[in-house]
Amino acid sequence: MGTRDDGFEALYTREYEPMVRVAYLLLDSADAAQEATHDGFAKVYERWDRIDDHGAYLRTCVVNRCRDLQRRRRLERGRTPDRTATYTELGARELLDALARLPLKQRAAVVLRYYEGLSEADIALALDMPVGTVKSTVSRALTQLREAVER
Amino acid sequence: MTIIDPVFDAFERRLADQLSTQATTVTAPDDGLEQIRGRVARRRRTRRAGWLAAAAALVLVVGIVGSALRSTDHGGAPYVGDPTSVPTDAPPLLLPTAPNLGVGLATWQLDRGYRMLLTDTSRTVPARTSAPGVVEFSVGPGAIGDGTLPWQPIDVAGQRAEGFLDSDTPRIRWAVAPGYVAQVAGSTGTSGTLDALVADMQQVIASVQPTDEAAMLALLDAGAHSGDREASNGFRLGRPGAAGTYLRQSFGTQLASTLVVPGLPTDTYQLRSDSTSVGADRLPGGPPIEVRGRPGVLDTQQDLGDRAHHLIAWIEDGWQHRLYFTDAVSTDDALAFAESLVVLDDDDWRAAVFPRTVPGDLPDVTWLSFTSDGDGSTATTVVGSGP
Repeated sequence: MGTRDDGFEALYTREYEPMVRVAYLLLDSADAAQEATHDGFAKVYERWDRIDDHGAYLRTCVVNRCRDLQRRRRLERGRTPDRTATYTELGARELLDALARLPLKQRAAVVLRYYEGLSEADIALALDMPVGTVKSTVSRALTQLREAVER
Repeated sequence: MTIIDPVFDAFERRLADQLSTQATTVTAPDDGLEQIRGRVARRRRTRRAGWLAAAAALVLVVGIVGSALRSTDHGGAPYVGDPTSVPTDAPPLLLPTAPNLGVGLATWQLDRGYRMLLTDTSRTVPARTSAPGVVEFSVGPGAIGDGTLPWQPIDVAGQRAEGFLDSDTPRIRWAVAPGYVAQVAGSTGTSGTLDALVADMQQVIASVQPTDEAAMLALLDAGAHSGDREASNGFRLGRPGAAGTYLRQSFGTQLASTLVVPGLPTDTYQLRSDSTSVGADRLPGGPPIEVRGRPGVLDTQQDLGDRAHHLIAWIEDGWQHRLYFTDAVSTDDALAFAESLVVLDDDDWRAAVFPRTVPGDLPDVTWLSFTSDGDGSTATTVVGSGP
């Protein structure tokens, strides 16, 4: 038990804030981001001994939970993007709004690539998709973002 | 934290910078660890409550059935309903194993990290077929109309089906055998538009056909070993004849099996096998102990999911095997059980994975080819009907 708790606390110290921020970038809601992150950490704790790479598994759990929460939110509020962010730098709103309109897998791929700085292989692991699909997903997302900003 | 990769262009650098700035507008709470611990505790309580409810429901069902049988024994009203379901003295009909289904003349690409969930009642095969975006194909117990999602009736190739299509991960399920439904799930993230994805999924469904055990085993083997077909000892280590011995999940080079022993709770023994370099070279800490004539370790403080387990671990033929066991048995029992494990031959393994089979009305299916790119990253298989 001690080993798991020690390892878990180390994981928490290292990954908690980054995961909250990743979830926030995917959900635009601080409360929902905490919900997704806490759920991901709880799943990691419960499966601790069965997991090889706790950080990677945590990231997958958090992204999956974000997807669930986003889907639920869509059902509850229709398909209107839910934005509570207050970031107002000139041009940022267009880019972030365009990001919010992407399908969650594209959005997640963009966030993991350009916020977390993950490799395509690590993104593939987190999103459970082949590396080639990651490349095409990011490329397609970037094209849409460019078009949205240049429009 | 702004990630600036040297290969980023100006737009990508701007995107990274804005994401970083946006992320700093949220603050992680100070009591996150306490909240997570509370969540873990709540989940445990919820699961326990679920088990208790299930047990209570089982007791209730047993009571009702027993009462009904006693009523029949004492001269109840004559049965006048459907003659095909008239109660008889015949033993209860066991539900057959989930039908084995493949996608005719389609390519299944199984990537590294491939996982397969295979139990004695259901099979889930995450895979990409020739239809882009279709990411998972599964079959298991169920019936059209019993799902929890807001399924909508749809028609697929004239079959009774239902869809959950207003989603990033649309799904279609349809009845494939009495008591079983199959499901194809997709993801728009890999396929462009939802309409195109649904059309692809319908094509997949139209091509689904029964396949035989050999093809399923080959798929299983290919996914579990990603082309390294020699390293199969962990895969095949089992206990022939033990009821319900089956592979539960595989994570590339890591495998987990539940070894069910008649008369013991099903979670008494769990065997996990790891052929990665880390797993095969390093045993966990603990007092040394001899296991199957090899050096091993004993750890009496393992926690596996919700239950405390003990563990004996050893390395054998390049695999680290970990046998977890509960308080239902002693360490000596577990050592004796480990000693009884054998490397299964093909017939034993097949019997363990497919303890029962569907009736023999399946068409003859031919295993067409198996290819690998050589480095184990991808295995491509083709399953199709014989001539």
